Amino acid sequence: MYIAVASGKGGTGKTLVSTTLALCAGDCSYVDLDVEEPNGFIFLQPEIEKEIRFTLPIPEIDEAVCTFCEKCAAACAYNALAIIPPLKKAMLFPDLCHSCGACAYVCPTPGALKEVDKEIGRIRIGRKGKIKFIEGRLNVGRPSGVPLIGGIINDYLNMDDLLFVDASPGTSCPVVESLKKSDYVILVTEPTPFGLNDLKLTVEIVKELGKKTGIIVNKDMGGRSGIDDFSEEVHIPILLKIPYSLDIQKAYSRGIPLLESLPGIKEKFTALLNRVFEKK
Amino acid sequence: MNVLFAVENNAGLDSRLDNRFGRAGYFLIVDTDSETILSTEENKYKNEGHGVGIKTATYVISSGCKVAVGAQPGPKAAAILEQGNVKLIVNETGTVKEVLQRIKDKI
Repeated sequence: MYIAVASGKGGTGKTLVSTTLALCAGDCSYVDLDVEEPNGFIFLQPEIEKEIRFTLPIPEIDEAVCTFCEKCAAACAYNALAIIPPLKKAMLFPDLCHSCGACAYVCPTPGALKEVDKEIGRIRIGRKGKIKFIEGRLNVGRPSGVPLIGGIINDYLNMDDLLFVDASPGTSCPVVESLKKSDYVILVTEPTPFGLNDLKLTVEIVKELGKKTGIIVNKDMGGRSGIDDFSEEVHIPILLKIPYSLDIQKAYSRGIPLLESLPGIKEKFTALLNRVFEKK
Repeated sequence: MNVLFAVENNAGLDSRLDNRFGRAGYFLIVDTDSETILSTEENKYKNEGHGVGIKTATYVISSGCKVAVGAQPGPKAAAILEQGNVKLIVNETGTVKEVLQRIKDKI
């Protein structure tokens, strides 16, 4: 079962929740798909067994062979290639390249354009006790983590396993990619106007994707908040409220998991998991 | 000398410089000696989503002009123009006619 943990607003507690879920469940996989800044390893302290280079094909043009016919540049939907016949020059702007392969497909001159692998990130695989650890890490300066996220989901996850997937914050393409194949989505939020606003945006995505969803309120101050009203309005249950606590924050800032810093939380997370399993 | 102007409207020598290079409305090629317009081309790339600077810079080089006047191009377009040894004049505003008088001795 693929359980994704997401949130519109950053810093609400996705990693807190997903690492706690993994530690509670024990026999499972923790998958860090927040590839721009993966940090689950800080709390799980896994032993890394292998690190895999993740590459995408990008064109490389041999100017000695190229006839500068400009067919590749015309085929490129992202204008990543500049072919300048008067200068006999071919320039690639790799940030714009989406690795679609159209340039290589249309090139009529053998040997002029070939696709070469360019590393865009790394996949780290390891273990912490019974928990399998998988992490995507996008290289600095790369414009999009979506191919890396999709690559991990397609090639490195066993969909029969119990998967806890830590998504990136926000509501953009990387988040959608991380949620697409999920069986259940846990949305983590906090009782602030920003937390509620961004929760609403994320709920629009999960509705569009047709996902079963529950909410966890982190840093709960007690009593009702706008999140309770919203939860009732959209019929998405609040699964758990984690209290606002300086002790949790102090422990978290030292990389100590929630299970060790908040007594009694394991039972609550186990009950929450059973509720989620019923939804499958 | 043939100079390319990146302008916002199609009004001959009264066209005004555009405040964007890659997404300028029109490209005029002007003979600075006779002060006549040799060609007027609508910028067909201006509404594209990506890589407009790359396309327009490639166009500028193909035009054969060695001097281009307009707004500061982005880094990708500037890299292409540099390859083509195109001199850029980017700190001018106003109409082509006005700018011509000011830059005549610079080019």
